Formats: sequence, C-alpha cells, structure tokens
Amino acid sequence: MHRTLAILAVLPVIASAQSDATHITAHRLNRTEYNNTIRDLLAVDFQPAADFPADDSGYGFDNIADVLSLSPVLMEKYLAAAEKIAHAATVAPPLPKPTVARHGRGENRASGQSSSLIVSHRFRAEGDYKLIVTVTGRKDPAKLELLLDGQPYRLRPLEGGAENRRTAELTAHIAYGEHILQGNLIPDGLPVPDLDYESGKSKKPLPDPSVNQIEIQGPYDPLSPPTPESFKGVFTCTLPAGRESLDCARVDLANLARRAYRRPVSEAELDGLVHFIQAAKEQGDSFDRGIQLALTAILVSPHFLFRIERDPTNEFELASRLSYFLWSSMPDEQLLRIAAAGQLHQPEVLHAQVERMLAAGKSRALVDNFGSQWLELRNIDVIQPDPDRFPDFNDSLRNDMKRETQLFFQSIISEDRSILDFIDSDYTFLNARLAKFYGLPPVDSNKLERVQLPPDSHRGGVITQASILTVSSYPTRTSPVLRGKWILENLLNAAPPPPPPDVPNLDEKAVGVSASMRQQLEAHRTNPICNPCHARMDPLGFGLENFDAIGRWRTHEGNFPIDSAGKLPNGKTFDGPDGLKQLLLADKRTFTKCLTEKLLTYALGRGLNESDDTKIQSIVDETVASNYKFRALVQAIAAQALVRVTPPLTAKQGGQP
Amino acid sequence: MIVTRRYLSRRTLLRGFGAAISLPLLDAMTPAFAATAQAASPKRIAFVYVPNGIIMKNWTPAAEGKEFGLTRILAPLADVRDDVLVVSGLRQENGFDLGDTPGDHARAAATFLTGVHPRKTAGADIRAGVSVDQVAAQHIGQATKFASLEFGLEDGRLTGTCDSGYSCAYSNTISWRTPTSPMPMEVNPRAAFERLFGVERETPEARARRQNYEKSILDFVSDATRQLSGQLGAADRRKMDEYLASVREIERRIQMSEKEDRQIIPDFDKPEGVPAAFEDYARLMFDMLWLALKCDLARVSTFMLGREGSLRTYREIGIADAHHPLTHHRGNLEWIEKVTQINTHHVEQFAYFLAKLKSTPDGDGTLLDHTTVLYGSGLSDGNRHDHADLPLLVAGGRMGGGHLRYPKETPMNNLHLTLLDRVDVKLESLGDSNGELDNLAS
Repeated sequence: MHRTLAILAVLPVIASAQSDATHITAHRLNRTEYNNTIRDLLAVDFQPAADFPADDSGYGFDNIADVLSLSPVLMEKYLAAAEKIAHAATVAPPLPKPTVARHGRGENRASGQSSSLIVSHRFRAEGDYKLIVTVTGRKDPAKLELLLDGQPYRLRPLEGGAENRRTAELTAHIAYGEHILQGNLIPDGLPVPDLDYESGKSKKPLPDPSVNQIEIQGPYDPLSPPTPESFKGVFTCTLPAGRESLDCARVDLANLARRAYRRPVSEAELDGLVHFIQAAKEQGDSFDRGIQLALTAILVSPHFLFRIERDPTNEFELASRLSYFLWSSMPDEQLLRIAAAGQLHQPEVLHAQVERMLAAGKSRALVDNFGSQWLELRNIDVIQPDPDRFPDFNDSLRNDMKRETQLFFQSIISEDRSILDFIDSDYTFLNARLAKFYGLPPVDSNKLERVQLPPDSHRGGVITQASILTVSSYPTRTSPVLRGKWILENLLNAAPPPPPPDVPNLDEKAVGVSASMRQQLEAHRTNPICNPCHARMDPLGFGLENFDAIGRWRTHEGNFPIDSAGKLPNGKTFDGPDGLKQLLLADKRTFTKCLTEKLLTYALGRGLNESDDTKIQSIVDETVASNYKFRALVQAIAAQALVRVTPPLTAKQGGQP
Repeated sequence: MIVTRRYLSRRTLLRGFGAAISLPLLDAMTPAFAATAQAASPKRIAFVYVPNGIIMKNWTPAAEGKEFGLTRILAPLADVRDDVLVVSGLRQENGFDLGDTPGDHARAAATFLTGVHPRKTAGADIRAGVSVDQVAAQHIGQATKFASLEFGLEDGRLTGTCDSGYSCAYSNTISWRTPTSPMPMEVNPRAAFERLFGVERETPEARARRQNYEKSILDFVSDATRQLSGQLGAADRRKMDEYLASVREIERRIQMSEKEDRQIIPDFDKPEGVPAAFEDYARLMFDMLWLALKCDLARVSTFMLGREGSLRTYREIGIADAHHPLTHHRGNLEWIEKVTQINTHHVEQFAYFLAKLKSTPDGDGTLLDHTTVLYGSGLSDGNRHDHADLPLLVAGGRMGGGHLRYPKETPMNNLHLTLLDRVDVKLESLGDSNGELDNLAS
C-alpha cells in the first residue's frame, strides 16, 4: 500500500517527462485487434472491421502505432460499425421468416473436379428446412447422399428433370447456427452411354454427373434463437424490479466502459454515458435504446479506439500491452483483476500470466498476426502462380500450404519447443494432398496432421515449407535472389538494399534452355554494382533450387540438372537445403537475435533503435540460456520490455539483474 | 512551343477578383462565385493513378499540338480524343532519391500529388505533404457530403516491407490530408456504394432522429478527447488532433445530409463484392465514382488502379507475370510488350470512365465537360525508375484535346496549380511548384 502511494506521488513527474524512452505513441486498434476486441467485449459474431480500410504497415508489421492513422473514412466506418454492434449486442433478432438460399459450385472452388459439393450455411433458427439438391451432367444411375456436418444424414433418389438436370428433395429439422452440407453422388449402376456423342450428333461429350447446387428453404416453424451471448456482457445489472432505472444503467455502463476502456472509469465519465439514457427517454425512445447509444459512444471514444499510455507504473496499461501482444485483443477479467490489485508487474505473477495467456486458445493471434507477417505468409493468399506452368496449384493446395505453416508455428508455442525448429525440424503437418504433393509417404486424412518426417525428406523447418517457397518465388519461376533475400531479411535480419534500377538483363527465356539459372546469375554477379549484395543473397537461394516455384521437389530445370551447392562470401560452402539448414544452425545467436528483434518490434508496436540494443542483448542471452525455448523468449520480452518500470525491491528477489 | 512561366502572385489573384481578399480565404470567395455562376454546373476534379511507370515510347505522341496522333497505349481514348490533353515533359524532382538511396516506388506515389520529398522511415514519424486533391477538398469539396473520395483496386494488406525502408503508407495512397495523415483507398465496390447511399432505406423521421443522436455522440467523444489531449505529450496529441479532425468531417457530413430532404436512391444495383476479373473490377469502381460525381455527393476524388509497386498479374489478357518485376525489363522486348499491354489495358478502363462521363448530361453540357481528370504515373520509365518526363494526361473540363510539351525541368506541381485554377481554387504554391503552366487550356 505504501509502495503504491509512493509511486503515485512521483507519477506526475514521470508522466510529464516526454523523453521517457519506454513510452509508445497512442496506438489505434488495427483491424484484427478491433475485431478481436469486439468479439471479447460483446460476443457478437461478425467481423465488423472487414470493411475498414487496410492498415498501413511499417517495419514489416501492421500494428505500428506511429503508422496507424485515423482518416475521416475510417471514423465514418467506426461510427457505422459501433451503431451496428450496439444494435446487435442489445436487440434480440426477430424470429426469421422463411427465405431461399442457393449455394453453388462457384462459391467453393475446393470442389474442383470432384462430383461432390460441400457448402456452409448459417441456419438462422432451429426449425424445419426444405433442401433441394440439383445434379447436372450425364444421367448415370445414382443416388444422392447428403452429409450434415460430415455425418451421413439421408440417402435420396434423383428425380429426372429437363435437359441434364436432376434433383433430390428432402425436409430436415436443423439446429441453429453454422452447418456444413455435403452432397455426394453414390453410383447405382453402370454409366449410361452418350449416344449423341458416339454417333457424332453432338460435338462435345456430356459432362460427368456432379452435384451442382444445394437450395435451402426455411425455416418453417422456427424456434426462438438462444439468448445472444452479448446480452450477458451488456445487461449485468441484477436489480429485480425497475430494471429500467438510471441506477441500473449506471451499473451496466460502468461495467461496459471498464472493459472497453481496459481500465476503471471515473464517476464523471460515467455521468456522461448515463446521460444518453435520459436523452433517449426525452425523445420517447426506450431504455435499451439509451444503452445502445451509450455503447455506441463508448465504441467511438478515443479511450476505446486507442491504447493510450499515460503512466509507466499503470498496471492496466501493462495488462493491455500483454494482451495485445499475445492475443491481439483486450485483457480478460483475470488480467484486469490482477492489474487492479497492483500485482501484474511482480515477476512471478507476470510469468504465470504470460504462461496462462500462451496456453489459451486466443494465443493463436500470435500465429495469425505475428507469424504470418514475419514469415510473409499473408502473401500466399494473393500470389497467383502461372496456371500453365503449375497446373497442380489450386486454392485447396494454397490453403493446405498456409495451414501447414500455421499449425507448425502453433506447435512451437503450445509445446514450448526450441525456436531453432523454425530452421530445421523433424516433423511437420500434412494431409493426403500435401503429402502427395511433397512426394512423402501417404497420409490418410483430409485434415492436416502432425507427421514425423523421414530422414531423407529434405523437409522440416519453414524454409522447406511450400508456403514460404511459393511466396518467395515469382509467379512463373523460382528466384534464388528472392529466396536469398527472404532468408537474409526474415531469419538473419540483414536485409540487403534493393537493386539499383536498370541493371543488366537476366534472360528469363534462356533459363533451362541455353543456360541454367545459376549460369545466368553468375554472369549477373560479374557486374561490380550487383556483386556485393548478390554474393550474399544468391548462394542462400541456390540452396533451395531443388524446390520449384510452388515448393515441389525437383532434380532438373529444363535440360539442366539442379546444382544446389552454395559458397558464401566468407568462403563457407554448403550443399542443398539440408546443408543450408546446417549452415544457418551453425550461428544460432544470429537467428535468435533476428527473431527477438522481430518479436520485440511486434510486441511494442514500434521500430527499434540503438537505445534498445542492451535490452535486445539481454533478451537474447536469456533465450540462449533457456535452451532457445520459444516461451522463454516471450517471457523475457514481457519482463524486460513490456514492463516499463523496474519493480522496487519490495518485489520478490531472483529476477534477472 | 514557347512556354512562359506565369507565377501566380497574390497580385494576380487580386487582379482576377478585383477585390482585396487575402489567401487562402477561399470559403469567403464562394458566395461571390455563386452569384456570378448561379446556374452553372459544379466543377469537379479527379486524379487517376497507375503504378510502375509506362512504356514511354508507346505512350508519348510523336507530334505536338492539336493534331497529335494517338499512340498504341493511348489508342483506347479514340472516342474521347478531343477531350484529352497529353502533357509531356513534367517532372517530380522530389521523387528522385536526393541522397535517400533506393525507394523510388514509394516516392513515386508519395510525390505524385504532393511534390514533397517524403521522409524516409519505415514507421516512426511518416511525413509527406498535403496533396492537391486534399487542397481541392478543403475548398470545392466542402459543398458536398464527401469532401473527397479515395478509391483503389488493391488492398494494402500485403506483408513484408513495401519499398526499402519506406512505410507502406507511402505506396498505398496518393492522397494526404495533412503531411502526416495519408487517406486510405476504398477498395470494395459494395462498401463504396454503401458509403455513398447508405446501408438501408430510412424514413426521413428515422434518419433525422439517428443523425441527432450521432451528433450528440460525436459531441460527447470530442469533449472527452479535448480533456484527454491536455494530459498528453506531443506525439499522442497529434493522434488526438487527427481523431478530432476526422470527427469534425463526419459532423460536416451529417450537416450536409440534413440539408437534403430525401435519401438519394441511385438507379444502380448495389455491387455484391469484388469482381474477379480486373476489367470488371476497375469498371465497377469507376461506376461508383461516376455515381458519386453524377449525384454530386463528391467533387474531388483520387483513384489508384494499383498500389505503387503492384504485383498484380493480368491473366485475363494473358499475362501471368507480376506487374512490377515485368517493368524491370532491361530492354527485353518480350517484357516490354507485356508491360505495354498492361498499360493499354489500364487506359481502356480509363476510357470507359471518360465515355461514361461524356454520355451523362450535366448542366449546359456533359459531366465530362465539368470534370477535370488527371491520369498518370509517378514513374515514366519503370525500368530505370525515372521521375522526369512523366506520363500524364488531362481529360475533360473543356480543356480541349492536344499534346503539349514543357521544358524538362518544369515541376509537375505547376500542373496541379493550373488544375486547381481550373476548378476555381487559387493557391500560390504547392510542394515544389514555381508557377502555373501556360497554354494548357484551349
């Protein structure tokens, strides 16, 4: 207690010292943080930030406080989103009227060549639905099998229709929420001959039969949807009678504002919010509408939209630093409670909280936001490999590649593995399709599963994952330069400068025909302007030349066998991806420092500078001493960089000096 | 051609108006204008950007003057040729490195409408300059619901560094409200439509009630912000100032729409989402801009057909390679051909927009007559990263067709001043301008 008072006494002095190096500029929530915070604050099930303008990034991440600006268009969208969220969080939806929804092949490119159709549909209420499944193509005898959420549900005959269209109809009682419907064709006899085509009457053969559309009509006789989860977060007041009193509103709003502002609110702030209840009443609107207005005001307030740091000793600010680092979202009740008790900065309490947060499902945010930006994995969503050169690449494979890297990163967090596994590991995550694509022993699952890699697989570690190999290639070909640059930037934090414009030509057409890629690039490196950087980049990239532009293993390119040996400017040599990985592992500290700097930039939401050097060294030391464990790295960042004021000696001894 | 620099001095302005008004009190001028041009259509201005430069030999017409021949890239403009003025020779000096080393793509976009050398930073203290569209927005933009609109066709959601040491903010937009506040591009046609026309239909009473509530909510948060700001340091205060400026803009919008006694319901179906093919996407977004201009919801706009450094592939026209690497063709004829095709494809979409403006009656002429549109790139030769002799053309606004060439050192920002002049915004200087362009208007 005395300690707290003492800190409070010096507070104004610290707060007014603008030179405080640990201060971070007011940090606007980015799109991901906004979505997650709304989810955790109000439990409404939509992604309000989907229409917000993209957040600009800096230092490779989109959570950099200085770059996150607030334009009028974003303010306009904040207001519209706040109104929509406040409505959804406080007004029970009316019983839905029956409507028709049609899901076709177009929306699910994963259906590809298969005759089945898998669609996802959000059923707005529990009730009866009529399902009409359309099958097109040659009229081979077949039955329609319908699966609900992956489980066989009904088998129905197909009724003939006009042209080559057949349908199956059924009525089903389906529960509220999102369900997956799958229509399969079960052959019921031999294919019918295509007489018109065989006799030459028609130029094209009839296509094989396939499920083309699932139509959903309903709900009929709907049951009331369950009380929205959001109501529990908003209406906390349990005063029995006269619920619509201002006292009750005050209780509800105090709780809402505390969670939304991630700190206790003052009575004056509360007065301002309660005023909206009266304003609504004066307009003849309901109490709930008043709550809605106050909630809207909370959601467009700078106290909600920004994380503003005013006091280095403030534990609520520390709680937000931790939760936005590990969860990309607001602190939960437990964190707020510990912050209120003034205990969060205590080393053992902080340690336990970080462990708890990493173990929680919400730490997936660290994979989705930190991991996918560090590894440039987000680019896999937009890259368009040339379909003529890579006909096997499709959206299903794209998704598998992305999932492999995400699950791999997740496993390093949840199993507290060594960060060196990012460079080389003896396991990865595969499904049947990805295992086949990699040429590895078959995996009997459509879901990605953890797989032990055979010793000669050449896979293991992120640089041999198809996702990374694809994002570091051009749509038409591999680029040892891009891959070398990727390794320098993301594993060694030694980004080369971009090339001067108008450097001599790399003759792409000649690659694989009259010269190998290596011969081409070696010619390129004879140029003294190009040499200093390319001598660093190219050899690293050549080590991965056995993987084509979508990450498939190869031994030849065109007429030339792949030569994946490399020689670095310092004279060190290596051979192939396995040799490259050994080379990277030979200097564990450099990689540890690289990952530390990336993670610290993300954790703080700002670029690093010389004043951070000592701290970085110390975090690296601690990580190395803890056997390169991922959680040790996160713990060191939390304790040494997120906590702003070194705890006074009253705290338990034994932390790092 | 003889070009004289006409410096727009304060005296010039005063002479023009015959009254002693000081700059930049443009709001004060508006009533005077309204009196002289009561029935005239409002003047609009739009800026359209294409990334990664242009194959200049296939862009620049050989002849100058009215009877210039359309080149291969400009060929799609045949139907609106008399409304197209190709402007050659202008330069964005501040796009060059000036000692900052690489980063020409970031600088190309950041200087295009500002003429200010952007500060080289990956995040901390980003700074460019106020862009010409935002100057116009502060003046003619105040008469409409949206002071300005910013549309694009590429979300800035990619990861990794955008251009060697420059924050992605510099390549994602060409519009800067203040030197530190970039304006993001709206890339979703459905969202653009909803912003323009509202999400749902409301009765006038419901709308008035909602807007009253919104005003009191905005009052509430403005008060809270002002109280908060007093306790903050400079960097945080800057963030709060930006917040307050945005709140004020929304308040202005609410006031503007209160003046309308009805909800505008356009004769156009709400877009479903983002079309897969580039051509469909670009045209739909241009449709949104056309609707906004036609309904007089905005008079100022910017439109980026791609982010600077764009990696889009154009498979619909048979180009599987990413745009940016292709532009580093290093003389490879096949690559030059592909880039020319992309450049032409862009102009085709622009021609669609101009045709649409031209076919829309407006006042004493067409919407194109009353809209001045600048089209171009912040790089000329994308292979060598050249910011001189930029590919630029001005369409509409009754400028008349032709091809003008200016001396090589002429700042592009002189063109911006001239364009502002065309829409009755008088400004003495912007960025590195040193006068207006002569002979621009016929």
